[in-house]
This record gives sequence, C-alpha cells and structure tokens, in this order.
Amino acid sequence: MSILILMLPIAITLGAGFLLAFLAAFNSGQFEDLETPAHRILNDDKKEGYKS
Amino acid sequence: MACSFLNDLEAGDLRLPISISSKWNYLDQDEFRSKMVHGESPFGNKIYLLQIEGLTCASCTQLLERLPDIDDRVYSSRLSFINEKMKIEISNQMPLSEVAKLINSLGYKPHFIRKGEEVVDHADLAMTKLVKRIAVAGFCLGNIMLLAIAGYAGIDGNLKTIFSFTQIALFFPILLYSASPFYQGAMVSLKRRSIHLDLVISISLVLSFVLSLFAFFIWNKEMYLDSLSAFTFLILVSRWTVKKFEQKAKKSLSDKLFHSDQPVKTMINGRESILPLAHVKEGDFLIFEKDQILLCDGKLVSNRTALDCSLINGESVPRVYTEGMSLAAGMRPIGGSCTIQVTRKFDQTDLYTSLKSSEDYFLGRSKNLENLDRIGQIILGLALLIALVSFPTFTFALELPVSEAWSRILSLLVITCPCALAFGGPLSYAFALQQARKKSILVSSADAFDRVNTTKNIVFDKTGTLTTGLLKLKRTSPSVLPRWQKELVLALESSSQHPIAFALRDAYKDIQGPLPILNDLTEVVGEKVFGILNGTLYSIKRTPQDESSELKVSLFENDIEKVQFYFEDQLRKESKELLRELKLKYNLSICSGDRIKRVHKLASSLLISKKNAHGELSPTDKLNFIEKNPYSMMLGDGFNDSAALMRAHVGIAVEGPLSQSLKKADICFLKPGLNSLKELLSINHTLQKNLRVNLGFTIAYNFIAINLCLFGRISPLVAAILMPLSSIFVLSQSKRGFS
Repeated sequence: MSILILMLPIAITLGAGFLLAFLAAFNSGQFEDLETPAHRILNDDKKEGYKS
Repeated sequence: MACSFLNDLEAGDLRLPISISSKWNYLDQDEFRSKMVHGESPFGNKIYLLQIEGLTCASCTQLLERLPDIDDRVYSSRLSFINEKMKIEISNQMPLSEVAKLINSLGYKPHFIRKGEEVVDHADLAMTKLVKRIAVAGFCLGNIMLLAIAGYAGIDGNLKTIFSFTQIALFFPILLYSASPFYQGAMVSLKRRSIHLDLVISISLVLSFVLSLFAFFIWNKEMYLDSLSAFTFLILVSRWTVKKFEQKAKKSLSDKLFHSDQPVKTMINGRESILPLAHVKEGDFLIFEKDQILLCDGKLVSNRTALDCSLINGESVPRVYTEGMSLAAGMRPIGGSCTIQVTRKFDQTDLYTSLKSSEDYFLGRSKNLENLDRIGQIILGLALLIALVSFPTFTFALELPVSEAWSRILSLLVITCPCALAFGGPLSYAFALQQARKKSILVSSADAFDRVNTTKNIVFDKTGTLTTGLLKLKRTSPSVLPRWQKELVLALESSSQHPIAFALRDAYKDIQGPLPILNDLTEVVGEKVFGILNGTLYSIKRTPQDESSELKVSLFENDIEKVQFYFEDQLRKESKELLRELKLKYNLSICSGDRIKRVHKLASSLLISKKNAHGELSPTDKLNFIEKNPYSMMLGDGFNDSAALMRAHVGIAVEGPLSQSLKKADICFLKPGLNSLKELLSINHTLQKNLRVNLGFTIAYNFIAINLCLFGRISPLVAAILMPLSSIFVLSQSKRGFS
C-alpha cells in the first residue's frame, strides 16, 4: 500500500500538468474559433500556410 | 464567386481583374500604415488585422488562406470565419492598398482595423474567467473524489492522514478561486439587504468547510469536501450553461445588428476611413451603402434619398427624405448610399435601447422563478435546521455513538440539493426562451411565460393577425375590362409599393409585353397615382367607402369615374384550424377598427359568435375592452394598439415597428401569421411541464433523502453519488422537449 504515497504526488502532478496545459491553450485562444479549423481541414495543403 | 476563383487557382490559371480603383489609396500614407500594425513576425514582417465582409462558405476560408499562392508578397494569412477577421503577414514592401485591392478583387470587402481599436467584449471576458474557474474546480474535484472514495472504502492509518491533508490542500483552490463569484454575489446581496442564492451558497460553503475541518481535526471523523467541491463545480457549470444560452439567444438580435466591432465608413476631413462602430462619436459623418441598415441616429447630409423604414414604423412603403431631415437607426437606404451626421451614437438610439431592454430583463422578473428560489432556500434552511436539531437528539436522546450520529448528519448535509431548483428553474426558462427565438418569437421576460400560462381570453385584432394583410382583387365594375385598360392600370401602378398595386399586379399577371408609357407619372403615397397618356389624365384614387365589406378604389379618366376595383383581405390559411383548437381552451374574441360588417363576416367564417366580434373600435375602445376582460391575451399591432397591448395580461405584437413593439408588448412575433401563436403555446406548455416535474422531483427527492439519512439508511458515500445524479437529472429534465 505504501506505493500509494509515491503515486499520489505523481497523479496530482500529472493532473495539474493537464490543467495547466488546458489553461495555456485556453489563454492562447485555441477555443475561441471552433468553426474555421473545421473548414481548414478540407483545404489541400500543398502550398498552404507559411512561406518565407 | 470564391468557388470559381478557387477552381482557377487549382488549375493554375487564376487571372484576377486588375483594379484601377483609387479608393484604397488613403491606406498608403505612412502615418496610417503604422497605426494598423498589429505585431511583427519572427522574420521582421508586419502583421495586420482585417475585418472581411462577404464571407459565405468554407471555400472563402480556403481561398483567403491561400493568398500567399496568389501574391508572393503575402507570407501568411489566417482567417477566423466566425469573427470575420483575418490576420495577414505581408512583405514590408507591399502597399496596404494592394492588399485591399487583392482581397477586393476576390469578391470581399476588406477593412483594416487600427491597433487598439479591437473592441473588447465584456460578456466574453466574464465567460472566459468562468471557464477557467470551472477547469480548476473540475481538476480539484476529480482528485478530491478519488481520495475520498478511498476514505469511504475504509482506508486508515498514515495513508488516511495523507489523503485527508491532500484533500484539504486541493479544496483551497476551489474555495478561494473557483467560488469567488459567489462571494461577490453575497456581498452585493448583503449590501442590498436581500437574500440571494449566492449568499446562501457562500455561507453554506464556508460553514461546511469549517465543519469539515472540525470533523477531521477534532472529532476525528470523515470530511465531506468531495460533495462540497461537486456542489461548487456543478453550480459553476450550470451558471456557465445558462450564460451561454443567454448569450446565444441575445446574439441573434441587438448584438448581431449593432455588433460594436463592425466596421463603418466615416468621413474625416473629407477623407473616407473605416472605424469600428463602437468608436463613432456624435458629430461624425457616416456613410451607409445601399441596403445597409443605419446604425446611428443622425441628420441626412447627402442628397434626397428613399429609405425603407419598416423596422421603425412597420410600414412597408419606403419614404423619401431630403437633406437636413433627421433619420433614425434601423432605416435602410434603398435608392443609393447616404451620408449622415451622427446625432446619437448607436447605443443611445431608440432601436438599440429598446432591443437591449427587451433582452436584459429576461430572467429577472419572473414571480415563478422567485418562488422556486424561495422554495430552494426553505429546503436548504430546513436541512440545516434538522441537522442542528438532530445531532443532540441522536447523541443524547437516542444515545447513538457520536460517529454514527455524525455520519447521519453528514449524509443529510451532502444529499440535500435545493440547487436543483435554483438552477433548474432559470435553465428551463433559458431553454424556453432560446426555443422561442429559434421560432422567431421574441419574449421580453420570463414573466411573460408565467402570464401566458394564466391566460383565459384571447383577443385578436383583425388586420394582419387573422388575415394576411395582403389584398386580393375580388371583382371590378364593369366586370370585364378591355386589355388596354388593364395595361393602363399596370402602367399607373408600375412603381408603386402600395398593397393595392401588388394586388393589381397579381390579378393581371398574365398581361405580358411592354406597357404604355405615361408622362408625369406621380404617386401621392396612400392617396393616389396619376399620369398622362395621349393628353388624358388618368388616375387611380381611393373613393368614399360604401357599406359593403370590401375595400374600393376607382380608375378616373379626367376626373370621371370609369372603373371600380373591389379588394378583400385574405384569411390566413392556418387561422381557421388554429382557432378551432383554441376555442376549446380559451374565450376568443375579435376587436377591430374595421367596419362591423366586415368583422362579422370574418367572425362567421371563423365560427366565432357575433357577440364576440367587435368592429369600429378606436384604440381607446380596445383598451377599455381589455380592462373589462382581465386575463386577456391580446394580439395586435405594436403601434396602433400599444395601449391595449401594454394593459393586456399578455400583449403580443404581431406587426408594427419593432422598437415600439418591444417596449409595449410582452411578446413579438417576427414571422407573420398565427403559427407563431401555436408555437408559443406549445413552448409554454413544455416549459410548465418541465418546471412542474423539476419541482416535484426536488421536493420528493429531498424529503425521501433526508428521511433515509436520519434513519441511517444512506451512507455519506451513497449521498455523495446521489447528489450530483439528482442535479444531472434536473439539468436534462430542463431541456426536455426543446430540441
């Protein structure tokens, strides 16, 4: 059972990591526009996006 | 158009029309350009933000995001379809006017947005904060639950201590961060000296937390932080859901029309420029294109122009305005573009404020909701009282062991869930409102639903409610007209927007080919049209009405009455069927300003007895009628019948100017016809059913659960599972029947 003492912080750190990941994604505006990406996926991406 | 450009692009032979327009040149001034920069890419290129008008489908995204393929100086472009905004990164050598021309040649209207002029939406900010609070609460709740289940399953020793401390640590973010809106609400409620749900939530949250700590540290018992966090989490989620629905429902109206971020064309120092609507000030000059709805009140500065005022006064006939006249927001230029000098900003116009106020009140005034809230508070108070009384009863009178007594009290506190009422009620109303909006019915407040429910009589205004308001040519006198006369009539009415003109065009639609050309063709709106053909003056005029049930106009040849046309209003297709159904439940009557004969004829065709059909009533007569018949629902014109609509138990505006209707009536039908009434009654029926089921369920659930807990039949673990289950039931129940 003492393995639980090790697993507890691991579990919480993992969970907190995902929470932070979500908050970071949320703050960066990933959830603001849920429609355009659905259109974008239909595009042929042979030359799309960045060119420099 | 985007689709065809896209095909050309795929095939490799996209040739865009070369624009020689100079209207974008103002973009190229250095001062202007520097104000538009929204950022810099890692490669040193400037990033600009544009508002794009004219997006239609997925192909638009595809085309606009492939701008780099079309022009080498564009490095990247990202479009947000929903916000209609595009971020574009271009070479520093590319003039902004070229960007505008490029986008314009693809069929869209670009507007560069100045840095710092993106308008921040406060409602959106509040929602963003709420989502973060829910995320944190969800994370803590999940972990606390996991640890608590171990506790309920009988873990002990060191592990129990560690688990418990971890739970307490995990609860702090919920208590201090996620639940903070409740404390703010509680402060407001204390200041106003009124009991608000936030106050009850705050007190029970903090008190339960303190009790929980006592239980753990002093009495050495189980905590119930798991159910406390579930409680907080679920209330937050329900608030988010309610707000989301509110927002969605509202978006469809004032915010869609008066979207504060939308670009408007202004004239500054003789130069055209684009501003977001929110930044327009009094005294600014605004240019509105043909068919673009005016968004501010103002004085007409440009030449005379025709405007469609149907949103303002409900008239379908456009009016001509000349320079210097006042225009109101909501009018629509139909002749060409017009320039106005703003006298009132968009958020101070009548149209905006009346639209807004109709939305703001939307859940606040319902007595029914207040009662539900009160019942919730009573249940919560009772549970606390029972808990306080039964603890000493258990330990001293029944001599139960302290641990057993605490376990029962704990189950009781955990399982009691009046929040089902507190958020189930508002949610039910929100769903009903949303459903109504979907069906083009605007309901001004939740209260209106309560009153629809207690309606006993339904009073119809005749014109436009039961009938279509569209005229139909019934007969002529003489009954057969020669072809040249028909052609003459059509030529006279050729540019008229009057209902009679439409009726005549409809009646003689088989007359094809060129019409005779009249000299000096003139229309005096609402009175007559006249013109000269081969030296003879022809006119169509309204003539004194005789006692028949029809409307009459005549064709005059040099002031001699030649032909009479008789028109009749058409009964709506659905009227008969619907009225037959309504008659089983309500007393129906007709109140009309029309001739008694016509009203009686209409009533008999609708199987309404003559004593309930009243004609030749003035607006005051209608008001008196409403006052004599309490619990009446009145359907009428939002302008002419506004007094009666306001006094009626439920006032429904079926036509008339929107801004006026929203102020005076409880409910507005945006779609003509009586089907909306049918929809409204069915939505209300579903709503009342859902509210009843929720109330019944919550009372039964709490009564049974509290009793079972007091008799020790439910352990705290089971209680913690049942509480969120009951909330989920209420949530799904609130949405039942609303697709």
